[in-house]
Amino acid sequence: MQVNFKGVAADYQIGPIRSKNIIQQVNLCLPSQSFTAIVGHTGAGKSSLLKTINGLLLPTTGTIQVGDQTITADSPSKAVLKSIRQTVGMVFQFPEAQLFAETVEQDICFGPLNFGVSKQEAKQLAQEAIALVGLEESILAKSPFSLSGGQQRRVAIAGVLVMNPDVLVLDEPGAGLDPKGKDEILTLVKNLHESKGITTLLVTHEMNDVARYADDVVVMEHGEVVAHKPVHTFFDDVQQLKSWSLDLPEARRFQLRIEKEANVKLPKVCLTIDDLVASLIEVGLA
Amino acid sequence: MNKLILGRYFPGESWLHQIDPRAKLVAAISFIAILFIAVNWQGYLLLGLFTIFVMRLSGISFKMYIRGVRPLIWLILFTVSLQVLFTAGGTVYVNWGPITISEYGLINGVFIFCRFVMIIFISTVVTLTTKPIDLTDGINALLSPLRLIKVPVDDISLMLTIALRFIPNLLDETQKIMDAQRARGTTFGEGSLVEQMKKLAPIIMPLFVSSLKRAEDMADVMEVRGYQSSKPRSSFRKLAWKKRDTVAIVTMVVLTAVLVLLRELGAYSIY
Amino acid sequence: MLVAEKTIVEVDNLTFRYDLRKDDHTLSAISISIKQGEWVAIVGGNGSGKSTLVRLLAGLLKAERGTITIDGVRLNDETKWDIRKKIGLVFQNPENQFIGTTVQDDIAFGLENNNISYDEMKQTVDEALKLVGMDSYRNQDPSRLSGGQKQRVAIAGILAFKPNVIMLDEALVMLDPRSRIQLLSTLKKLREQNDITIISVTHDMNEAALADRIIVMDNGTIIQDGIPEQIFINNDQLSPPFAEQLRRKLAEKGSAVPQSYMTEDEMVDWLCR
Repeated sequence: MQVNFKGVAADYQIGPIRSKNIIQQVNLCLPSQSFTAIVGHTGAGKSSLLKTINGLLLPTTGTIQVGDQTITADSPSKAVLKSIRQTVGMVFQFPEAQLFAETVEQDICFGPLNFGVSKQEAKQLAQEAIALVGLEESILAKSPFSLSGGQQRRVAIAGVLVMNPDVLVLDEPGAGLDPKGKDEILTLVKNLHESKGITTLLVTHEMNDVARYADDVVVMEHGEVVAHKPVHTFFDDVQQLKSWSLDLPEARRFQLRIEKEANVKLPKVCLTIDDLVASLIEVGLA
Repeated sequence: MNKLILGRYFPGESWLHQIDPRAKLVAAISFIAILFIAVNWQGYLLLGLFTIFVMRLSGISFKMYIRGVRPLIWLILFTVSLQVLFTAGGTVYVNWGPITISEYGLINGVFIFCRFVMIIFISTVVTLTTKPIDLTDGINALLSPLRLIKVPVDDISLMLTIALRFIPNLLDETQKIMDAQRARGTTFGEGSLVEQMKKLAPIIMPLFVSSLKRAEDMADVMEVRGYQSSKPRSSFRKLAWKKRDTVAIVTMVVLTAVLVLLRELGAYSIY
Repeated sequence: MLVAEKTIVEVDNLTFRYDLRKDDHTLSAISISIKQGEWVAIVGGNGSGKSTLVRLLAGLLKAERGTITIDGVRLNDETKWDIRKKIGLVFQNPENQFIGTTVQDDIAFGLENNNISYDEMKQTVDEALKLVGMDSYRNQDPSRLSGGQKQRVAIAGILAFKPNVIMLDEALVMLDPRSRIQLLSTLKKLREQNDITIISVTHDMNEAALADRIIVMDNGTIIQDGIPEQIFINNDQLSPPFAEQLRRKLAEKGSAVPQSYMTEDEMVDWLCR
């Protein structure tokens, strides 16, 4: 499903303090079945942009199209919002903070029941969702608060996947996990993206993850989208990355160091360790 | 929750912002006390002008203050109408059974209304112009005589400080959890009261869990950083009394004197 | 690496369980000796007991058996308050360990607890702020600081006591990669200039590789203890730093890379030979 931002601006209000134009003039088209990483520094407007996709934050101007539904500045009808929230799955940062029910099953069923699915069907969906995130079915009967941090994260993600979203938005889904747990979560996301054709949007600070999982990159600065490029082109232009003070993936950083010190040019932009190994062997350095 | 202005701090550099919190608290409390000295319209006029003057001094727009009163308006009107209906004396305008609307009742109602509004305005001035932490320091200083009767003043003020420190986090967290649950299809502020109460569980439960976790973390942090409630502590935060603080207190004394004078002169008292 | 010979942390036969009615020990008979100025990384899976160990060292938990000696003083209920001035602990969540309403208030918190006079506090806070590079933020409130900056403040709060040891309990895990790197270089500098011992519980192998020594824990015991080179070669459970990963991949592909652990500099030198 395609997501299309046209001239979107939004303010943010907490109490009496209003942050003007937390996002401004965003024109961005995320094609159906794309996997896009959003990068940028804290406060660049990434999280706010995500929230506009399902109307948690309404634009002050502009429109957001999700499939054939549209969100505009004048508060959209509840039916439109509900239908958009059903198609867009949102995994917030530290999503385990949203767990509340007595059992894992009840927690996962929360979404489907809100969207009017029958109890029976919701339970069925919960079983599928828990398998999707790689947990045993027996966990459904347990209290979510008795689980380990990594398991809680998966349960929370299952609570989002259970609605079978066409668009999946994730805000640093691996934050706070150990490297192995993080890889597992991201691999799971990547697999879902590939097997179900989910349009995926990933906010991250970790350039290694951008290189490994995403196809395209969106850069945000001061509430604006300043670039939208395929990953290879994005990491090719090192000067440009520096000007945004963004880091490089390790393989690419290592490549540049070698190219400088050995005075060679590797045949391609290396984003992963496998790219780098192949290139080093190809040019005869290793 | 977002509309309530009373109790919020509004950063600024005004003369009022710079007054010592102790002076501000004493002045505000004495203002509320002397409201009860005023018994005639001259007195209320004086207090009203003073209130407006102080609000101007804060450098914050009147709109903010009006917004601060709005959530409380029903409470005020309720109290006022009780006063109007049950005070007798002077010319009677309406008389239905036990309910009478009399001249004195009306005048009293107007006074009560003004008193309420002024109390809210003045308290709002204090909170809008004082950092919560300074307010805690002020309270701590004013309560310190209670140490003599073994009240744990320092623990109380540390508790207040920590609570204040985490209110923004709590609000932030509430917002995040609400967003997450709304994204999972729930809607707030819809349906019957019972339904609305039920919808709170998905917010309150996670907040509860995270607050417990936070409290545990904080207890550890405080312990490794050497906090023992029985031991004497020094204080890094120092309040400094300046000339303007004396000016503020003297102003209050003068205001009180003038009010007493007005009352004694009895220029058209209603009683 | 030059390490003075003075032992600063001595753990002997340390045993601990959370529930005395049950038999599963979180730590069983652990002994470690750490020298002044050493940087020790403690790694291991969830439930290996690594966090429990640093909590015991900070006196937050009580051992069932065994002893902990810090700078020659046995840790017990009487000595723990003094020992905590010598050994500070930085926790995982930057948000929850910021107690003060501003940066300088937070650094002063520990000093206040020890009833230090105002003038001395003022000077100490100033010094600590400079050491972690936060002096221009002294009046900021925590909501305007990044996670990395909050952790810096937490470290400054410890430095105010001129400690011998700073322990980090996964203190970098919530930070973005850039703040992580910046904080690590601050720690490195602190160790070199102030001879501070660093004990860091971590999952991040890039961080562990910076240490002089890695202790691998599993199921309440120490299974490996040595320099990073040895640890990464002998333990295939740990994912090594990038250069070593590259070396292994190249070796798999039949390249003639050396058979021993390589740091990034060594790898670059070898490739550019």
